[in-house]
Amino acid sequence: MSYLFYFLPEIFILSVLSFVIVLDLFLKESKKNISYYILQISLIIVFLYLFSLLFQKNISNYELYDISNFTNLFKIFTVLLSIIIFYYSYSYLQRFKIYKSEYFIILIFGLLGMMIMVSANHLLILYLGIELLSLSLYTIIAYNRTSVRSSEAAVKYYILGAMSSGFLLFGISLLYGITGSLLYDEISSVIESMNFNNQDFSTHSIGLIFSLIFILISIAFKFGAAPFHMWIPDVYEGSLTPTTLMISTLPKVAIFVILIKLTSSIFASLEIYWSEMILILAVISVLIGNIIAISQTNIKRMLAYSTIANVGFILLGIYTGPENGYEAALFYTITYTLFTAAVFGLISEINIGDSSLEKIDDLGGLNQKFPLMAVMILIVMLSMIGIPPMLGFYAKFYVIQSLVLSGSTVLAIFAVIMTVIGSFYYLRVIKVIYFDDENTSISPSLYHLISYVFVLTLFLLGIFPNLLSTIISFAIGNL
Amino acid sequence: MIPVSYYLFISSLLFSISLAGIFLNRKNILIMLMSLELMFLSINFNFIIFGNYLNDIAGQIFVFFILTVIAAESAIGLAIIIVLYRVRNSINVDDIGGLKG
Repeated sequence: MSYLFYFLPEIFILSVLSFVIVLDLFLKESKKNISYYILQISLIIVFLYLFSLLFQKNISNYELYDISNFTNLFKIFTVLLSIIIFYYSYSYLQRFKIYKSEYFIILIFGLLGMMIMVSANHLLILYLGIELLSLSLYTIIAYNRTSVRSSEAAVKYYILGAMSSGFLLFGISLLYGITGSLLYDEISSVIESMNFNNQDFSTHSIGLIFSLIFILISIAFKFGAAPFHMWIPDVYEGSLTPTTLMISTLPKVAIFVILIKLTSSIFASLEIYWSEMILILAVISVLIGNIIAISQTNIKRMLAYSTIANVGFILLGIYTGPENGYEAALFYTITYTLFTAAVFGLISEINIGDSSLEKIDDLGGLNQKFPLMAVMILIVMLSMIGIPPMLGFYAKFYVIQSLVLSGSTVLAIFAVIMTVIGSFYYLRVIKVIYFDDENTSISPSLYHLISYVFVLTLFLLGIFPNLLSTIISFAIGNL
Repeated sequence: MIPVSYYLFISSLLFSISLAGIFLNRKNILIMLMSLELMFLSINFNFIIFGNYLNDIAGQIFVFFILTVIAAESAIGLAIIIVLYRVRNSINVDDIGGLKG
C-alpha cells in the first residue's frame, strides 16, 4: 500500500476525471461549466500538494516511478501552465459558443499522460504515458469537427503520430532483446558493462545503435525537430487557438525531459553516437524553421515554423552535453514555453469580426485602437527575438555560451546568424501592429486582464533572470 | 531449434512492409490504418520472441499492453476518419491537401 504514495497526484487527477465524466451526464446544458470549475479547482489542489512535496526530506525512491525533485518541479510547472491554458481555453470556447466539458476532460488526460511519462523509470510506463498524451492530442485537434482544416490536421497527425509510436516501440523491443531488461538503471548498467568503443562492431553494438536511432527518430518526431516536422504547421493552423496553445507548450517540455532522462541514463555511454545525431537534427531544424517562417502570412503557421527553429536551439543545448548544456537547454525550453503560451494566449484573445485571428495583416494598426494590447505583443515578440532586457535574450545567451565553452565556435556563430535571420518575421508583426493602416474589424475580448498580468510577470522575470536560473540549476542538480 | 535471427528477420520484414504501405499508398486512408496495425503486430512479434529467448515474462506482458493501446488508438483513428468523411465526403489521400504553405 505504501507504494500508492508515489502516485498520489496521478490517482487524485484520475478519480476527479472519472467523477466529472459521470457528473457531466447529469448536468443541464446551461450548467455544463460546473465541470470546468471542478477540474480547475482540482488542478489547484494538485499544484499545492506537489509544491508541499518539494520541502519534504527523505523521500525514498521507488525503482519504477521517479518522484525526485526534478520531476516534481516539472509537474509543478506543467500544472501551473495548465491552469493558465484552462483559463484561456474556457474564455475562447465561451466566446465562440463551442463550449463542451469534454474539451477540458481530454486536456487533463493529456496532462496525466505527461506526468506519467516524465516520472517513468521503466520503458513500459514511458510508453503508456506517451500514448495517453498522444491519444488525447489526436482527439483534441479534431475537436472543431465542422471545420475541414481541423479534421484534416487530425488525420495527418494521427497517421504520423501512430507511426512514430511504432518507431519508439521497435526501438524499445530491440533494447529489451539486447539488454534483457526494461528498467532504465538496469539497461544503462548492462550497456556500460559492454564498454564498446568506436572500432567494435559486434552484433550487440549494431543492435544498440539501431534501437538508439529508432527511439531518437520517434522523440524527434514528437518534439518537432526538422526532418520530422511536417505535421507541426498543419496541426498549428488546423486546430483551435487554445488547442495550439496547449500543443505548442506542455508536450514540448515533457518530451524535452524524456530526452534528457534517456540520454543521461540509458544512452549515457553511447554519447559519441547520439550527440552527432542530435547535432544534425538541431542544425536542420534551426535552418528550416527560420527560413520558411519568413514567407508565412498566417500567424499560427509562422509561429509553427518559429517553434521548429526554437526546438533546434534546444537541441543545440543538449548537444553540448550534460555538464553545462542541459542547464542551458532547460532554461531555453522553459523560456520558450512561457513566451509561446503568452503569445498564443494574446492571439486567442483577439477577434477579427466573428472569427479568431489568422492572418498577420489583420493585426494592422492595433496600436491606434488598443495600445495596451499592442505593448504586450511587442514585449513578447522582442523577447522571442532575444533583445537584452527580456528573458529570451538570456535563454539564447546561455545556449550560445555553452556552445562556445564546449569548443564549437562555428556552431555558435551559426546560431547567432540564424537568430538575426529569425528576427525578421518577429519584427514584421511589430511593424504591422505599429505602422500599418488600421483594421476596423479588430476587437479584443473583455477577459484579457490575466494575459496582461502573465506578460508583465514574464517581463519582470527577464529583469531578474537569476531567479529562474537558480530554480533550473536546482532542478538539474536533482536529475 | 530455429535461431532467433530468423524470427527477427521476419519481424523486420513485416515492419518494412508496413512502412512501405504507409508511404507508397496514395489511395485510401483505411489502408494506412491497416499498415499501422501490421506495424504494431510486427513489434509484438519482436517482443514475444525476445521474451521467449530471454526466458523473461516482461516482454510478453508488454504485448498485452500494446494490444490494448492499439485497440484504443484505432478506435480514435476510425472516429477521426468518420469526422473527416462528414465534412469532406471523401477519405482519399489525394483529397487531403487543404493545408499548405
